Amino acid sequence: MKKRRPIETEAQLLVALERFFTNISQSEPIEAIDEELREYGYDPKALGSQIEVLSKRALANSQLNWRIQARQEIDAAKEKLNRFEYMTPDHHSDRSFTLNSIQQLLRKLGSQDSQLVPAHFRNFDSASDQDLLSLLQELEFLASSHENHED
Amino acid sequence: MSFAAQSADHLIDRLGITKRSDLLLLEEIAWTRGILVKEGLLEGSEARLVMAKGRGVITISSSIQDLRRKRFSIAHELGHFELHRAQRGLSLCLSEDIREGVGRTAGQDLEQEANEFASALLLPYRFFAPLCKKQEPSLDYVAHLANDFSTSLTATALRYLNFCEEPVAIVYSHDNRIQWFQGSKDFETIREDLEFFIDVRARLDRSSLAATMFQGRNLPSKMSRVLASSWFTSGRYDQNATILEHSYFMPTYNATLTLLWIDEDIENEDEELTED
Repeated sequence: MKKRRPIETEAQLLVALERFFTNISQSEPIEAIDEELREYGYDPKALGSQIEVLSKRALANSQLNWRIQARQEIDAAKEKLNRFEYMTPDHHSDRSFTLNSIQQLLRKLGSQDSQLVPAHFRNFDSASDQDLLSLLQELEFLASSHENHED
Repeated sequence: MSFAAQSADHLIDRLGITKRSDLLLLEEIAWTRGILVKEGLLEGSEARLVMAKGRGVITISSSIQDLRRKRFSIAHELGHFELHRAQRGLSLCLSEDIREGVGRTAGQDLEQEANEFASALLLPYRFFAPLCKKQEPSLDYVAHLANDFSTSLTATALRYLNFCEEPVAIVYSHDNRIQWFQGSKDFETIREDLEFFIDVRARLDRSSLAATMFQGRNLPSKMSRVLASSWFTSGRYDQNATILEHSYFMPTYNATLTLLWIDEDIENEDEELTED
């Protein structure tokens, strides 16, 4: 068995890995790599876990992480948004109720000047029921995201 | 660079975008800013942005079929979020607000800014500008760039003018009439110097290729030499001078998009002599 150099820091791990993977052939089967690691005195499983922890941490801190993480988060957010659709079935029959709910949520979300909001929502009065309901759904979603954030 | 373009550039920096394929991840880019993008039924508008407490939802009308138009609309609403969230809680953008072309009505400065942001985000200076100098001007090349960046031909052509180093103009005509035009910096210098205009709202000159396309004649779309007077009002240019025209007919819109290139000196030298 070749003499193992103890790995104590992440930097040492990276150096050891770089050296190891530079010397190893790309087409070498995984079993042969494991065997070689054992020869060096490393437990492949333990080393794998160590690399996983390290790579997760590096990815979490990476500026490039959004490319991977955003898609999962978007899918989860869409699921959450869709859940609010089922919370408004009674509103279909009552336009003024929907409008009131929207105004209440706007006040709750509060930081925006509630007088300003309708002014920019140009077709507020003439908006279709469907538009108002989806608007209400989005506001409920944002209000809930805000609450979760504050929690 | 305008404030809107700077903001788009800053966003690209912040996300560490170093290759243009990342610009295709527009939903993900919006998400990093706290914006969820979704499609939905919208009546009377193309896009809607609802903002609260630093987060937002962009809804894009599912009636928009064109992927490139959708991308521009998302980038436009993201522009409102980045630039105007202090002023607006909720924004509803009609199709005329989200202009990939030129022109605006009074009081639409915020919409114009959002359009500038969208253009600078989808066609960033760092990736797009060097390509504009790589080949001679032509609509074929602009279409190639539009394809690479997944942006509309019109939006790409207008952005192209910012970085093209030749005297080039883009003209949009609808139903045989000129609707708007925009020139590159060099084109505008020549235009001012030689005191001519492109007559917006005028019928297309019969000798232009664009006019021929409206007559239903199936012409090959290629750069062709035409009289400068086919496009320009009278001015201090030689009446026999020629320029290059490249027009695309867009049957869906009953419109043409034209690239004009003053590729040689068109100044009336006799007039110069007379003045001396």
